[in-house]
Amino acid sequence: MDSQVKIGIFFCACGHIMNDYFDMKVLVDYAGRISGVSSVDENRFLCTRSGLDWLKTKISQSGCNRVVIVGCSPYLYEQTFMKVLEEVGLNRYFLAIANIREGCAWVCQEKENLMTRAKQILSSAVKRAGFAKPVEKVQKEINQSALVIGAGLTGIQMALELQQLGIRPILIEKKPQVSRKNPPFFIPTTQKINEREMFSSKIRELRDSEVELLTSTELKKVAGTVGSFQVILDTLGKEREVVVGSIIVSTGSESKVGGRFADLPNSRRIVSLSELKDMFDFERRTLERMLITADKRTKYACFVLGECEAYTKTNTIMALNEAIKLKEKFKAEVMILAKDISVSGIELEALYRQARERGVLFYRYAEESLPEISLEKGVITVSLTDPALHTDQAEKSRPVTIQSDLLILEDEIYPHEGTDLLRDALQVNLNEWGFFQEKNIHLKPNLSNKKGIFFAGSCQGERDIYETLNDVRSVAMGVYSYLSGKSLVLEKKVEINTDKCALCLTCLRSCPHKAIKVGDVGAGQKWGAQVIVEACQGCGICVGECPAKAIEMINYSDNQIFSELSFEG
Amino acid sequence: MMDFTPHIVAFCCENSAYRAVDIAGAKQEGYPSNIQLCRLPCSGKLEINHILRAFEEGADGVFVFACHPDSCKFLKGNVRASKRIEHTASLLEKIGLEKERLRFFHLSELEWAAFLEAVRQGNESIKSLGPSPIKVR
Repeated sequence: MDSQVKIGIFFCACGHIMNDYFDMKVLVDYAGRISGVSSVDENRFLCTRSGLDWLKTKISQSGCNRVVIVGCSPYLYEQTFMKVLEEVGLNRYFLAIANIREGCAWVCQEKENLMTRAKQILSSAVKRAGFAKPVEKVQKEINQSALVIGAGLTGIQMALELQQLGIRPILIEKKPQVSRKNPPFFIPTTQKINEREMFSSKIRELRDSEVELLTSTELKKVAGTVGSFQVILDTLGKEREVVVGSIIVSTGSESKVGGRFADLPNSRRIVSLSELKDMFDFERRTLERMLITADKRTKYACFVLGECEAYTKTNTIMALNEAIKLKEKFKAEVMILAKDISVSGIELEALYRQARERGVLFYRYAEESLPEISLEKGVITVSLTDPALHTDQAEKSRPVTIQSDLLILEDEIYPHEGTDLLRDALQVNLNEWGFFQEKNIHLKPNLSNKKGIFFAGSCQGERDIYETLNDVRSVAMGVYSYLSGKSLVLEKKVEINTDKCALCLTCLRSCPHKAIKVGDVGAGQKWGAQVIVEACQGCGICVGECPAKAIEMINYSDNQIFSELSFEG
Repeated sequence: MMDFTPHIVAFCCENSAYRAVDIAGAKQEGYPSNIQLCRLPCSGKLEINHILRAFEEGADGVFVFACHPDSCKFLKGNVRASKRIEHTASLLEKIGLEKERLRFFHLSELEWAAFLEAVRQGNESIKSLGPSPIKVR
């Protein structure tokens, strides 16, 4: 331990709680006798404003340069105390918290061990503080603009929201134009919202705004990190470099007819769900010809769902919507064949109920017996066994045969073409289905593994309209939180000793955030790995992996961890 | 042997297990007082020498608490930890220490009850193994 180190220990009695459990005098006495400790003080409530002020004056009076707070859990007030340290001119990582409330007083089963455990925790914290080293701060200029990739509904909405927040968006689209006729990918909705109308109103809004829209443009190369990404854009062979503070991916997804039905003969009476939707919007006549004839016979339309491997909510929503429309517009007899209908989403239960009320028939087929489909002389025959339909005598399901005029099959949803190329350019991760992988599906659903790159909409997997709009809002706030200030303050939590570095590239491969680069360290020094501070999240995986022990995590150094392992009591 | 209290070090990831322990603390649910906690930024940070050092210091058992598979904040930290622990267990066997002394648990942030269960059970099993023959320091 450095002889310059003066540790100040500050006890918080937490009102009367600590006194109920411990003999505070003994603890204070013990603390004073630990080597390196220069001052010990006690306060009733450290976390109150007066307590914090008291702490501030005490630290400056006693002249200590490391602080140990003895009190409650670090999750509660660690950040607050760190701020206090900064205010008195110490590094925020010169703090150690001895958690003797949640970690000892409230959990110690054997009351006779209470004191031993508290002393143990205290001495570990003091040692830990003794080994604390300053964590440098790095300031970085930021560029208050964002690149939005993909001008679908998500992308346009994203750009508009960012514009409102005062961040200059640049919207790029691969297609030559953004129009109502070729929406990048429909987002299925319930009956209340017509997404085509919504899309065209958004296009109008976009034209009225000052958002920079670049069509026929692709992203070529990305360098830099959050605050200043240097992006090379390619517009029909012409390259151009822009600097943006953040990148938002909203490339969306594509649909294809899925399942085994790709093998079915080509017939205009067999369509996919998205084709049916397009027919409703643009080719109503074709549908009319198919479903309204002179003979006034009831026409049948049959949906087959659940053939694709993964259950897709998108298909359920679309099928229910289209079934209701067919029923209303053409008075057709509509059947939905499915393994299972799950209606997890906003307003979906109501949609299902509405379909039932209108008289849409639902048939269920078992997992092992898929419905058979045959096409002979233009007549589509679908046969299935519904486990719910039993004959009375033999407990056997009765087969159902449907002669259908229109057969609607489900879509399978794929990530948009070019997602792989984009992944390579951005150096982000894809999940096992080829969609973009979020950082943490529960906690950080729109963050990528790289700081400053966000995902929104169905490029992460299927999304309905509500989820998409939620994504847009949360990403807009995320971007704003990075780019609202003038500069970004980052902490250099990990340090690489290039003298020890053997250039084995283990850290480069193991870093989940691609925060390691290898290159020239400086004039006259040998090559080595370097940490990209902006991308580093401080997980310490590279530290654990480095075979030469060239990497050190400053606030979790070996000595600090060892100091928590010893048993003295 | 009856009144033997083992020393146990529990390495906790601060994104999951350490929070779970904290909740257990706030709920005033007791656990054996011989469990010494060590906070880590991610279980992927845990190095082999940290575990070995704990045994050198006289620990009778080492528990490592990591996030559930596929829910590591840093994508693969828990996978790396589990591999390292496997390796360390083989090292322990080589020097004649029972590999049961080193245990690996998956825990989420809210599973404080599972934490209590794990430490209670683990404590009993270390008790049945007896004191560690190693104590360098």
